[in-house]
Parts: sequence; structure tokens; C-alpha cells
Amino acid sequence: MAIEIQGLNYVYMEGSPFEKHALKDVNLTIGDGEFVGIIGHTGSGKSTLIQHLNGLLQPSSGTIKIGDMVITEKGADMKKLRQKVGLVFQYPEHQLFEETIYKDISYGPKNMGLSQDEIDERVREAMNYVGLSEKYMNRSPFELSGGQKRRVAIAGVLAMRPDVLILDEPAAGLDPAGREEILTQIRALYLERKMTVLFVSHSMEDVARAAGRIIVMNQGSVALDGKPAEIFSQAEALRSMGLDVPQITRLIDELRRRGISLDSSIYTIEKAKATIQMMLANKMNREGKEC
Amino acid sequence: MLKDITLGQFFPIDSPLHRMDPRTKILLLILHIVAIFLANNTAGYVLVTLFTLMIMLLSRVPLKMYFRGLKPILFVIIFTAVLNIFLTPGTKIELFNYETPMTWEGLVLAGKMALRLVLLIITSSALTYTTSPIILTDGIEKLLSPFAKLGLPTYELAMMMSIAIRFIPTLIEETDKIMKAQKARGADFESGSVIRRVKALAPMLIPLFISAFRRADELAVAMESRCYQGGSKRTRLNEIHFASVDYVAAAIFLLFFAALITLRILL
Repeated sequence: MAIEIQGLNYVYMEGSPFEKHALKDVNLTIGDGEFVGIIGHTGSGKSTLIQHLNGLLQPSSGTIKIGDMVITEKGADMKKLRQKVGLVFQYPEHQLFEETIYKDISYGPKNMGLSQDEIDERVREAMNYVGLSEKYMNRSPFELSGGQKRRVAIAGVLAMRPDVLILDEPAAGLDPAGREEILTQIRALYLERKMTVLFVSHSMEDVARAAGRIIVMNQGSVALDGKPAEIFSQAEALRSMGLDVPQITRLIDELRRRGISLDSSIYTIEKAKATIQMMLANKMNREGKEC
Repeated sequence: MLKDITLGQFFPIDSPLHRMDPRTKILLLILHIVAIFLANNTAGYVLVTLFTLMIMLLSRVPLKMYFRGLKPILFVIIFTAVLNIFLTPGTKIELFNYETPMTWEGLVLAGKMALRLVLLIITSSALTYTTSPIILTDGIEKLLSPFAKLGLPTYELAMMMSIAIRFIPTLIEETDKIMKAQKARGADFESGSVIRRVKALAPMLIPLFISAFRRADELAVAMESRCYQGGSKRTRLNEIHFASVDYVAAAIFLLFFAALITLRILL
């Protein structure tokens, strides 16, 4: 489902000394089935932006169209919108409340007014997507580890079968293994369900690996927008916004500076590893040595 | 909805009221509340209202903020006014030659009560708008300190109060976040019967309680690990002092108070 944002402005606490212009004239078009990473410094407006996309915040001015639904109009059907656009907040495990995992995941589908059979099917499907085995179904969500809790919370949103999935820092605060697992699952889900995915993060590594397009927010505006290779080639601009390129890009840049000819568009460890291995193999072949 | 809660919110600007010592402000607030109830004739009401208006202007807080603070208690004001109009015995009001159950005496009483309530809320908000919560609890602690000799745990009370006040905005923010998250999952807090609405609160209240306990635990650990010990031996970074502005304010206030009592006796 495509998203069209035009002239979006949002001002927090208008008319008080705490007034803050959080979004300034944001224009964006996100195509159906895109995987977009949104990055930006703390306070750059990324969280404010995504909360507009399922109607939790109403803009001070501007319009947002999701699919063929203009959600900024008065009287727009918020219930229908929230089924289409699933939003997973930062630290979603803090919103768990039910006695069992099954009940918690079924909260969303139940609010949609689905039949018991349909709910049951969706809960099982969602648990499967996030890699939770069915034996957890009747356990309390509060007994689980942090990473597992988070997966329950994400399943709670997936069970609503949204067409657009928005995740705010889904890997924040997890250990490297938990991080890896969540990101892999999101990626797999994207490929299988063909959803539009918006992924907010300030980890360059995570965004670099997962997203096909990156939007950089700075002080409430869209500063950069493009393919990962294009974004990460602008290291200076990123640094001036309090961001950085992935570590591996820095390494590649340093190697290039020392005269080793490498492709400048490398931003994932896998690609860097493959390229360097190939280069070394070629070098050894040329020098006639055995590996 | 949550944005309307302004009572207890500090407004960080500079004004004569902001510069006053919290003890002066608390004591004068108590006296002012007495004054509101001392007024018993038109001249008295006019004087109290004008004096309250002066406090509002002196605080340099936008008047809009004061009115926003009245919004949550609007219902109480209207409710008491209606009760007064209908339930006070006296001459019945005639409308289009029909006798209504309302009375003139009730109408007057309703007006007085509404005015008193509004003035009460406004002066109390003037205190919280112009005094940061930390300074306010400092002031309360100092005011209560004579009672410490009688065994009242003033320091602990003040500490508990500062912690409670400190966490109000945090918890409001947290509530807002949880509400949004549950709304994103299709929760509906705004429609349906009363029973349905109360039931709909569980998905919000349970996570809120859990997070409040988690925060309390974290705070206790953080205080413990910095060797926190309550008691009289603790010193402060910023001591509070009476300054000339306090004496001026007290003098003006006493004049006003004397005038009010004179009006009460003479008229």
C-alpha cells in the first residue's frame, strides 16, 4: 500500500513556552512494497512522523494519503486505518498486559471484531512469523526474557495483518543475538507478505542491512532520501547531522585512501567480506601462490 | 485529553512572583484562600477578584493558561451552580408568567460559589505556575520543620512529595505512550457504555502499574548506590532566602487583607 505525504507540519504544544516545530514541510512518497529505513538523530522528528501515519497524531497542516484513503480528513475511519497500518512502538514489550501470550496477541484481532476461529488462526500465524513456538501460548508474557517479550508484542501487531508495517527501533536494547534474530525475521516477513515496511532506527548497520531505501531526518525535515549506497557515500553530510556511516563503510573508505581499489558502495559486512576475499584470491593467483 | 492537565505545571519564565520565596507564597496562598471566603458583600467580592487578577498579571503567565487550568473543573462548577439555583429556598423566578423551580437567592448563591471556586483554582495554579516543584517542596519542608521536634518526619515527607511530583509528568507521558500503542492495536477508549469504557482501561492501567513499579525499583537502586541517606545533615545546592520582594509582597497582601476585613465590618 502506497503512502503519500504532502506539506506535513506538526507543532507540539502550540502557544506555550514548550512549543516545538517537530515536523517542517515533509513531502514523501513511499511506494507499495518498499522497505524503507528512517534514520535521524534523537529529536529529528522520526517518531512524530510515523505516529501520523496511523492517525495517532493529527498534523497541524498537510495531507497524508494511505492507499486510497486520505487520513488527514475529518471523519476518516481510524479503526479501518489502524488495521491497514500496523505500528510497533519503541520497547513494545512495555504494553503487554494479558495473563497469557495467546490472549495478548489476540487483543488486536479481537478489537477488529473478528470471529473466534479467525482470531485463533491469526494468533498462530503471527506467533509463527516471529518464531515463538506454540507451547508458549498459555504462559504469562511476564515470565519471558526481554527478546521474547518483544516478539510477543510484535506478533500482537502482525496478528492484525497490516498492509503497512511500521517499526520504531525494533532492536533497541536487545543483545546482539536477539537483534540479529528480530531483524532477520522482519526481513523474512517482508519478503513473504510483500508488505510496505518502514523501519526507524539510529543504528546505521541495521538500516544498511535491511532497507532498500533510506530517508534521513534532520530537525524535522527530510534531509536525505535515496538508496543506501547513495546515502552512505555522503559521510560528511551525515556527520554534520550527528549521524555516521556504518563502521564497515569507514573501514572501506580508509582502505581506499591507502590506495587499495575497492568499490565505494560497500556498506554491509557480508559484501565487504566477499569483495575483500575475492581481491585477495586474485592477488594470490597473480603472484602464483597457493592459498 | 491529557494535554489539558495544567494544574501543577511549572511555567519557566521570570516575574516578581517567580522570584518570591516559596514559603511566602505558600503562606500568602493560605491567607488568600481565607480572604476568598471572608468576602461577604459586593465590594468584598470585587476587591478579591481584582486582587486575584493582579496576581495573574504579576505572574506574567499567559491568561490563557489559567483558563485552560479551569477546564477540568468546569463540570464541578456547573454542577454546584445548578444545585444551588434549584435547591436554595426563596423567591421563585418567573419566566414567561410560569413559576420555575429556580430561585433568585439560588442564582445569587450559585454566582458567588462559582466565583469562589474559580478564584480558588486560579490562585492555587498561580503558585504552581510560578514555583518549580523542587523549590515548592523545599518551601513546604522548611515550613514544616518546627514540627520535626514533635517527631514529624518532615524530611521524608518532603522527599516523598518531591518524588511524587517529579514523576507526574513522566507517568503522564508514559500513559500517553501506552494509550497510543493500544490504540494502534485497535483499542477504543472514547466510545461505548460506561462499563465498556472502564473495561477498556485495563490494557492501559496494567502496563502503567508495571512500569511505575519498575521505575520505583530503579530509582531505589539508583539512590541506594549513591549512598542516599535522608535526614537533617543533608545540605542543598540552592538554599532558599527571603528577599525584598517577599517583604513587599507580604506588606501589600496585609494591606489587602485589612481592607477586606474593614469592608466586612463596615458594610
